[in-house]
Amino acid sequence: MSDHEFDNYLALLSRLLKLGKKQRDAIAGELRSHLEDRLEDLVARGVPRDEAVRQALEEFGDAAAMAAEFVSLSGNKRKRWIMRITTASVAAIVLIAAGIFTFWPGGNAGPGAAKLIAQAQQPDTKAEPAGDDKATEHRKAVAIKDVLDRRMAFDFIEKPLTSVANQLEKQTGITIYVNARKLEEAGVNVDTPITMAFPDMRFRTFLDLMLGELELMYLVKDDVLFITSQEDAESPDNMVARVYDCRELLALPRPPGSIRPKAAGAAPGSNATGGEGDSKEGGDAAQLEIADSENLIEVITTIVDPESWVDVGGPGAIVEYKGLVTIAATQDTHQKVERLLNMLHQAANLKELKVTVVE
Amino acid sequence: MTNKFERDLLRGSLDLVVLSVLAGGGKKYGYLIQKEVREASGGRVDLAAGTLYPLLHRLEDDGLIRSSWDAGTGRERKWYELTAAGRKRLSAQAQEWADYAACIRQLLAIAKVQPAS
Repeated sequence: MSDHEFDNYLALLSRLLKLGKKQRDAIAGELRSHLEDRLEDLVARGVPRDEAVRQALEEFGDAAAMAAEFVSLSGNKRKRWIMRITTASVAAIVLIAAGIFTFWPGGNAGPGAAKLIAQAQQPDTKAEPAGDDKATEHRKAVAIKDVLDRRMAFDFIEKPLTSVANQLEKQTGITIYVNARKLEEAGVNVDTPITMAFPDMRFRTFLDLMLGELELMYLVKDDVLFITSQEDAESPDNMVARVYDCRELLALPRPPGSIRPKAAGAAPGSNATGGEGDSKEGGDAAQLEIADSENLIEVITTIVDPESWVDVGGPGAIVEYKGLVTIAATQDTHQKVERLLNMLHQAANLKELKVTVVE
Repeated sequence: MTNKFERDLLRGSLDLVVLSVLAGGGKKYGYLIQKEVREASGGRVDLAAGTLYPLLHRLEDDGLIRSSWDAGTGRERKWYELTAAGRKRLSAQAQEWADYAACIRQLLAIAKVQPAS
């Protein structure tokens, strides 16, 4: 019953909606059912089909105006989201930042700063008995991360997801939990047979491949690798806030002769020059740094999961405070951000990135 | 008498209009809501799709209605229903409108204005 004129209208509307794909599809689907209902009614009343199509679309009005209504709605939602993130994390960020600035002598990133960051990593320390346990906890989490980067052989033929998970548990020694309820909610059948064989592949890559095909995702929590729906992984509960220390990156001197960007929206009096870069630039460096942070955010949101950020209707948020870039996003997005930032650090001959988790 | 209401007059009460159509019980989809509003108002309130759908999405974001997809009627449709919060909001808004209407009526009576029917 679908009419190609409806397709054209909805495709145009979809393009105008600056939202995530899931939201765009949902809106287009809902409006399509309305158009088809209207068409059916008009045709039943004896209106010729072509005329009915025209009339149904005319009643809908301008695609641009309709799209603008939906987009302005998601803008409001975004504001609420940011409020939620900020109330939760700002206190923590400010504390950490204050700590770092206190213990950061001049331009030298001493080990004191790193220690401080590490201490902030477990926010629910109240529930945990002592520092020693905390250390073990941390080591175990690192272990899963190591396993994810390990190369191994995978060989599954017509195996349901649950038994693939079982075998992966044996093969890797980590605990894997398939969240059947979330999968069911997302309409993914746990018994779908999986056929995948790779003689030598990183575990991480394999998971991405296998789960991507089923529109699923994984996340690591409390030493367990959870397999769950994309929707669940992107829900606020599973969002993780992390702080990326990008001060050295932002303090890099520009190549001589390059155009200096305008320090738009710069906080006045900010002279947080971090890193070991030589400080020949003096006052200029501080100004450059501020403008560059916006560029850095643009680099991140363009390269890493472009559809996942709030300004396009996704769940991820990114803000910068004095060279500390705070991101609330899924673990998957964080991994990519970390990889990208490490690449930038390497390319600039800086030492490795420091990351703080403020879950 | 079949003149449509002024847009400005309607704007403040659209939430109430949609919530009250949904209060009839059961789930309803957009096209049906539009139709019922038209019928219940004797054609005097006509919600354009461009107004109705963004409105439904906002009400859902606010937790006043919830939605689910279902193809049981032969077409994949998004069905809406009132939440408990929506029901509460509806009765609060209904009260407010009744008070408002009474207030206006009284103002008109004091000013001795007769409606030009």
